Amino acid sequence: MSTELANGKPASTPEETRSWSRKAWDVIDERMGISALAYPVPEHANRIAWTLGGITVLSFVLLIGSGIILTQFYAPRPALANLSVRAIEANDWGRLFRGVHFWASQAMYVATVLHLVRVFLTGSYKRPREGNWLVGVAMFGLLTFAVFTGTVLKWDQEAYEALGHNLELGKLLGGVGFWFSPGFSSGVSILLRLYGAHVVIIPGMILVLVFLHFLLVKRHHMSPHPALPVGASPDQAPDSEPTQPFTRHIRRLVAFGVALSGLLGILAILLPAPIGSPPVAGIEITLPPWMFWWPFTLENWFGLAAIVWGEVVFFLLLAILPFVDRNPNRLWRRRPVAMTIAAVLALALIVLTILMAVTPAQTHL
Amino acid sequence: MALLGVIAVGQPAQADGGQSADEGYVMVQQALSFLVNEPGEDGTAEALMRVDNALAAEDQDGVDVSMVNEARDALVAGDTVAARTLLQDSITEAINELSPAVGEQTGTTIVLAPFPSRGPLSLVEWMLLALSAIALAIGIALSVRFRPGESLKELRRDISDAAGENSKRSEATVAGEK
Repeated sequence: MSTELANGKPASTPEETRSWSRKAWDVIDERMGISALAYPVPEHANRIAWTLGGITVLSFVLLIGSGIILTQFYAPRPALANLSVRAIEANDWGRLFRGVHFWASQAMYVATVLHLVRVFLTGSYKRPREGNWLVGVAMFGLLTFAVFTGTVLKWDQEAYEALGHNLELGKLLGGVGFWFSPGFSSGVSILLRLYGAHVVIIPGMILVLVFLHFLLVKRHHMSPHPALPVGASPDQAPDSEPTQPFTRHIRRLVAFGVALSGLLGILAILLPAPIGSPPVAGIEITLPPWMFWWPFTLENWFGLAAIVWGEVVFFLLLAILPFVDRNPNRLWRRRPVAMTIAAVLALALIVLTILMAVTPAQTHL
Repeated sequence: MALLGVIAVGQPAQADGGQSADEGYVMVQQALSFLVNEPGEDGTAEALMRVDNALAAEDQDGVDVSMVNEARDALVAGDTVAARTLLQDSITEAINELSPAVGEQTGTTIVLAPFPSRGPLSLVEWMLLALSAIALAIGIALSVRFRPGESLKELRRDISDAAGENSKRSEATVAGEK
């Protein structure tokens, strides 16, 4: 390519013809290595079912953002907690951010469950991804704990009854449940300790596990789609499958993030997060959040300990899944045993949840 | 080691240090909670039961029993508004004597009704609602625009075609080498 014009003046070099934004990008990229994200991923990974993990992360980001704002106005002291939440709710912006936080938690929970179901249905937990499945199950457990602690923080009757159940469960667990004992740190309100768990310990652990989850996805690559032909290795997408840079995957996720923000904003304004009456000891008149309805139905039938056993069995089943399901097939039609067991479990959870919805609150403590 | 020790030994039983469910003023709070959470006959009946419990309680420290009796009469007469006021006032002394809540203590002083769900939208909320709707529409439009170019069926065909071409090419290479 000539660098001279006909009149003899020097022509612009390619360096000079680049736009300022391109130059700025190059400067940043040279130092931060962002273009390394443009590694190829199989085309099927851009389908919505394969972006549910990303949508979960987007919800988590919105939770962190709105949570940081809420911590500026929330007072984690028993005498003030409920009143401070009411003060947040009494302000248009406070109501918006608390509503976004509340609905983002619901979105994260639903997206996590759907992501888990997708991974199960497509057999993506099979070798060599068993470790990453366990990381995911651990994050699901932490998310459940985050929903519980978040429920307690509003310090209303529902919160106190949830806490009361947890304290009793801590006693049932003996020494293992020491952290849930009010006597573990008797000079401090347990509300303050759960606040610390909600804003630091749990999100911190989730962040570490998210990082590990991503590293393992990068290490093992996107799992193959069971409905597509496999390549030389059955645990990888075939080389002949078209690929797209991972940045395209991120681009679509950003679009989902914009839509999710809008949806959460609408929900936050039209259906604000509830706040009940300040807590009173010794009564049970509320229902827990819907995520906990199925174990509470078990409690209605078999007593308090059934909550522990129900949750332990549920998470144990999830944890051992990749180690007991040795069927190499990934397509759901060729995995009748796993599919039947999963269908029975899902049906049981749905029925137990619905039963709780139609049952009045009962006294257990 | 300390952690293991705690796990192995477990936790000693803790006294409530006030604010336990068998104290008279907490029973009054229970009655208040039923009144604000379950408006109607059921709530009133439950509240009446808790008031009776409070009147029969051994520990009535800081409770103005005469006001509780007045509140009971108001409840029987169906005047829950007056009953609420009387019940709340009857435990003023007990509330004033409370230490800062620790452990699982509630720290509750006034039993307020649940925060009312939303009323009419303010101007700011209308603007935020419009912005949210715009964000939702833009997000949906972009996610449709950035959707994968090929369906699963097309992907399957592409993969099969590419695999066929590869096998032909490798056969040709083998034949050429021969």
